[in-house]
Amino acid sequence: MILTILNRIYLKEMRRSPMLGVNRTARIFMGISLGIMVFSLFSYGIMASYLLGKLYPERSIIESFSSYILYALVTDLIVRLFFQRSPGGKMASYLCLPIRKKAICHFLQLRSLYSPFNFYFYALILPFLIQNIIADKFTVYQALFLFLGCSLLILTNNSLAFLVHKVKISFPILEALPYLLILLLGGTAKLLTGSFEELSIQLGLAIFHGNVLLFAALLLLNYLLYHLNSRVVNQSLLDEIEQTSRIQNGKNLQFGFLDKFGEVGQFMILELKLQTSGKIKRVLIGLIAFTVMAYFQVNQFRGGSNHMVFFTFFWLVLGMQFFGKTFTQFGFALESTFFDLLMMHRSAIFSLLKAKYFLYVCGTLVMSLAFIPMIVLGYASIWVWLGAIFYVIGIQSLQDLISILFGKGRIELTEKPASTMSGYQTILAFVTFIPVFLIGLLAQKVGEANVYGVIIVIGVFSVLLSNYWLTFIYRRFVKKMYTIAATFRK
Amino acid sequence: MNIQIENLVKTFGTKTALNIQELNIKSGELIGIVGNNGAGKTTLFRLMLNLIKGDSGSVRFDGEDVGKEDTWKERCGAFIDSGFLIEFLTPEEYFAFIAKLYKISKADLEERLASYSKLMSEEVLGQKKYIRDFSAGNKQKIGIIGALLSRPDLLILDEPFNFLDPSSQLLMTTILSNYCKETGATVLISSHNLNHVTHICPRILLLSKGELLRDFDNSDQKAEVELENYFAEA
Repeated sequence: MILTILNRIYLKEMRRSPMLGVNRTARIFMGISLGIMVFSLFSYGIMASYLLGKLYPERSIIESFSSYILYALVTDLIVRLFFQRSPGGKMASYLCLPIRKKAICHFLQLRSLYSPFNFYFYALILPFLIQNIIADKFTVYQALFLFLGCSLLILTNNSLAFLVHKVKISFPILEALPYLLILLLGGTAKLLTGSFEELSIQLGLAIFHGNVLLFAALLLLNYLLYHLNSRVVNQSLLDEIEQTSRIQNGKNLQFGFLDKFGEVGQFMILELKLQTSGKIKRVLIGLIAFTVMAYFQVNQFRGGSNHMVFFTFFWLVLGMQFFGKTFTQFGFALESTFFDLLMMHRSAIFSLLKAKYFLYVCGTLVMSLAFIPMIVLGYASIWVWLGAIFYVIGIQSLQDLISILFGKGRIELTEKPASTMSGYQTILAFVTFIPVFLIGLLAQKVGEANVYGVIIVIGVFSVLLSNYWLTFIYRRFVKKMYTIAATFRK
Repeated sequence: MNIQIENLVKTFGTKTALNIQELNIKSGELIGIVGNNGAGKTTLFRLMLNLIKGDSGSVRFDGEDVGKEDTWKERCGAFIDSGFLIEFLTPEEYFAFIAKLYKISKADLEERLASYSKLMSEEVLGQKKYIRDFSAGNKQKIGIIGALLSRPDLLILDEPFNFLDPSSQLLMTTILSNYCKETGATVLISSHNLNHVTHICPRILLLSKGELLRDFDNSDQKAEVELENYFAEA
């Protein structure tokens, strides 16, 4: 009964997300992005059999498919640990009401099931299964086993991510877990390929043939995880609420050398302090992990097959973005606490935008240096390296900074925008990855020099014109702030 | 509802936010809690409502430990700040949600809401707005009315006069005072407004740096002078 009521309330929360309250253009933009994403996943699902056949002509489709299962699971878990929101921090409103804590714990787990991370996989696997049933490569039962088995594995990942998110409230050291998993993935891609792949194939085949023991083990695992999560939430719920009001005290680095850059320099110092406070170790571990992973992955794909060329661009962009984006990913969220003050001296907002852009460019360039040995060793071409740099600083940065205009949504002056950014960031993540995939695929078809040459030219123009588009973003942003202020007054 | 607090301690890092050795509140009392910023008023309320875990000690409502049982919630109404509102609902939906949880019939809900129509002054109901789009003052009203809806035996309000216009503040003092007299409920309010607190609360607790400094008997409404002197020197 109470779960039904809470569930209805949550559905309302999703429908009424400020993310969907943005203007029509933004909604159309988000709709198109979502459409492209679903279309891309369906396309990969449909193409999967063909690609696997080409990549591994000596193997059966199910063996080839299975060899990726463990990689896909670890990747899925890493992505979840980075991006999936853990429900719980906003439960204070329910805790004062006559709702048993136990019910809230169940509700939180139920709520985690609605995450888009639990659904994207179906867009990928359903066309793959249907196609193989039609082609008489899978029987209906085998397809059904594969579907159920993979669903259980996704559910396990959801529970694991939920568990880690909750436990790390008490043990912040777990922040390093996704990076360690990245290292594991990167390491296994090159060093442990044989055994890891073999294990993956065995798992896939066991699911495919409906191994009762495996299904029972997966069901038991999910049952245990559900109860473990309930206990952990029960313990961590209050900590989570308390944590939201706790001020983080971390050691701050000094950036005095930026003093000479005037107002922009001051904002760069502020931004660097905000971003590095208490996170220095995390950023460094992440930087190392990403670099190692990029080497191993690119090396693996290069050595393996030319069909996977597009992954090189993907990993380079991701690696460079990771460091560069650290300084911009929250848009203006971090400044929300002093934004009214900035509005009194509006030109400072322009300086702030410039500071963010400079830091983004610097971060990207620092990260790009880490990939030079890859070019020297011949794992990747200089085209893809330059293409990735200019894509990130010229195209991606424009996209990220423009998102600030939409990110503010319908937020009032009295509220902090941070609470509404997460949903928007999810969309932004999709918008980020899809063009990168498409560019990579195009490069594979048309040739790296042609595609990345065009990207470099666009990127250079965008960098040269950055002052103009920063001015545009600044003007639109200030206008929006006034509109929000007027709405509030009304 | 009787409240017993024993050895309640809460620290944040090295700072002791609250340290109350013993506090007993009898059923039907209207208590005002005053103190400067950081005195521990909100921490006390959060601990009482089991929203944060204390380092030691216990809070009991009619003998029931709030940290161990949940049944007291059915007899308690509270509003700490706007973060406790369900911001994506309209006020009507929010009140209906509360009514559902407390098993209040539709007719009773309408009747109870009607009794607060003056406080809402046609600015809350029928606005077709989500709570997040209301002004701070109206959010405050929505939260307080939400806490009062179930006619609780224990009402806890943190800074109920904040963000309210002068008319609403005066009306709020009347509502709280009458509520306590009519229902016999225990009412706890914290406030920086000494006038309002000394005007309506027969008992006032003065907190300072997490400790209970004084327990004033204000039945003759004479505590105001002493409190003013204290705050002038503090």
